Amino acid sequence: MPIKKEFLEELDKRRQTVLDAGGQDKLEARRKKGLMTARDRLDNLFQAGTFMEFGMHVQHACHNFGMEKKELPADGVVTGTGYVGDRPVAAYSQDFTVAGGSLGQMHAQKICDIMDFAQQSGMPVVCFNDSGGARIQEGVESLSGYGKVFFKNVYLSGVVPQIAVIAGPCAGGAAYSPALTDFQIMVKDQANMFICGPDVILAATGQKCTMAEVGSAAAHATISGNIHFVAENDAQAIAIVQKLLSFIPSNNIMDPPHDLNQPLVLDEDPGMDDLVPEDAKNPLDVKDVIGRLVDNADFLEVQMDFAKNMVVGFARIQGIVVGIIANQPKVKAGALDIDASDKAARFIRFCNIFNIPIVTLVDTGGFLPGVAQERGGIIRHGAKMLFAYGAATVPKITVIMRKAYGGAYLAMCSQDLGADLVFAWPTAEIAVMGAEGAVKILYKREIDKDPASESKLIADYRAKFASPYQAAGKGMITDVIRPSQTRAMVAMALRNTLSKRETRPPKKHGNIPL
Amino acid sequence: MKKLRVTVDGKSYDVAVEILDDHGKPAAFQQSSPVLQQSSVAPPAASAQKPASAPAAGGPGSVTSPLAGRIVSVDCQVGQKVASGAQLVTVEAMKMNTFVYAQSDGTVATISVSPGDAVDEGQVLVTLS
Repeated sequence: MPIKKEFLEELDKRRQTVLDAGGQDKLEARRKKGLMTARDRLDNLFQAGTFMEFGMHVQHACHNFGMEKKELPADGVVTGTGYVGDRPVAAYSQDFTVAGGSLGQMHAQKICDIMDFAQQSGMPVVCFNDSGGARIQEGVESLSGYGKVFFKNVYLSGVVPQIAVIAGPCAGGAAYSPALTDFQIMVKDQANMFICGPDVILAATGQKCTMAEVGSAAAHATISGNIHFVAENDAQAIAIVQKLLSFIPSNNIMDPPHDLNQPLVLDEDPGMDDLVPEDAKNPLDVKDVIGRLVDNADFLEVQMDFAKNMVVGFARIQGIVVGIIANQPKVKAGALDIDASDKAARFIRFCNIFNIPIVTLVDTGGFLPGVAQERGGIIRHGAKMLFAYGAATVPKITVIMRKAYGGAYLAMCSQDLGADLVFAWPTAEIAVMGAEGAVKILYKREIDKDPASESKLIADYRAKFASPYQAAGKGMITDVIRPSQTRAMVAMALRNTLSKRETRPPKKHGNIPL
Repeated sequence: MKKLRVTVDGKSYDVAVEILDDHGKPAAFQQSSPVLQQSSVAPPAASAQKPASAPAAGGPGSVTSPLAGRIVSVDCQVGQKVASGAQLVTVEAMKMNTFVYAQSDGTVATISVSPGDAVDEGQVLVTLS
């Protein structure tokens, strides 16, 4: 006998109530304003027909402040799994049309449940933050709910990739969940994120500020460095998520999605030779170098607007997924400073977690001198780069293009920090310090006796030491190559190190300076 | 202009080639959206406090030095109309030239530095009106 019609009708009715969320009129109003609804976001993220919803019928259990009379469809958050690029991905999407997307006990439980599922099945988690914050009616249950979500973020960190999209308000404690994920994408205009907004700051301290200054995508992208990507709208945010996922494995025991079916092509690229300015004082644009180094000039830059003197991002080199870390000599002479060190170190550690080989391009005059840098802690921030590179056990390939002086030479993944291969261009200047500074120390007596000798001593020192051959002579460089050989050599190096496995003495974890 | 020797079916031709492309700029692949440099957002500064010796930053229209260094050259003139992205000043630091560009269209109103001057990070170099 077939199933009774009433059962199916009851199910359909309940489903429709949940799908209507805050009401079809509210959903349409959002779309008219150019905002996707919670379910639109998941429909656009996942391949059609692959979305499996978890906990559609969850109900809140609050009896305070008249809540017992209120039905909140899906308790304001849609959770489930779907396919992105033919791989299963878990996601949750907060629904602003249901109680302002506020987080209560069951809302938090749904999030924790889908995160548990993702962790045990080994799949990435994508979250769409769009919420007024804690559901005040549920009091400490809401607060505790946030705590549970944060704990899950930390539990999953390093096991599966976690990507957060800030697509609406994300205020107060709620901002800490995206902060604990691996990458944050923020949508312009419709989203803001802060711990204390302008009103609270004014009331508490008397300081006047605007939302644009403290909570906007622009502020976080350029100044606070709290986010990694900016999107014009929901659709672009989703496209960035999909693009990011295309470089990352589903979990930490898998390799990234390399494409090894392409044959290795070892042709030279004379265009790379053309990128090196004749005058050593004129900066090259490292993004041009990256464009020629990677497949199809397809480079997904991370934190593009923050610490622009350091460029990091994902690409493929002849099919192999890589994380690229590069000095940008056009900005601050490619010097390493506090923000650049933080940016690079975090990116290196992400690549290490997910078995993504690291390619480092070096052209830096050193660490940025300055009172603000010293008092700001350049020592402990710069040390993060040394720690991150030293601790990374993924293949590490370094290309020293031009300047590589002193501590910055080491901090940009020198052989001593465990680089598997180090290539240097003939224009590389690898030295303890620049000629002027070195000569002042080494030949102090001679210069005091005869000041005119200084310029010849500087020229001699530069000729002898500002080159790759001192370091190459001591076996610190794998090979000196023409720029035109770079793509071929790096591609071959990546293939050769695919099976690299390194073990370290057991420990809970190292103590990275923070 | 590059000179190449191209050999086809055993016959050699010496050709002169002019490369017109712009060094393989990335095609329209998914990227983070550019953030507008707008005056409502405080100009990017070092993450710690500004050095006390830096002169007070000017208002919108001020073009400041991105780092401490020495002026190599002033690449514009008072009264000159410049477009966004135009090179205004060259600063040298750490043995490298850093070019300072206009962030918006405008006319050069004042130039506060000359070649050889030492400048601090954030110091006003040029103002545009």
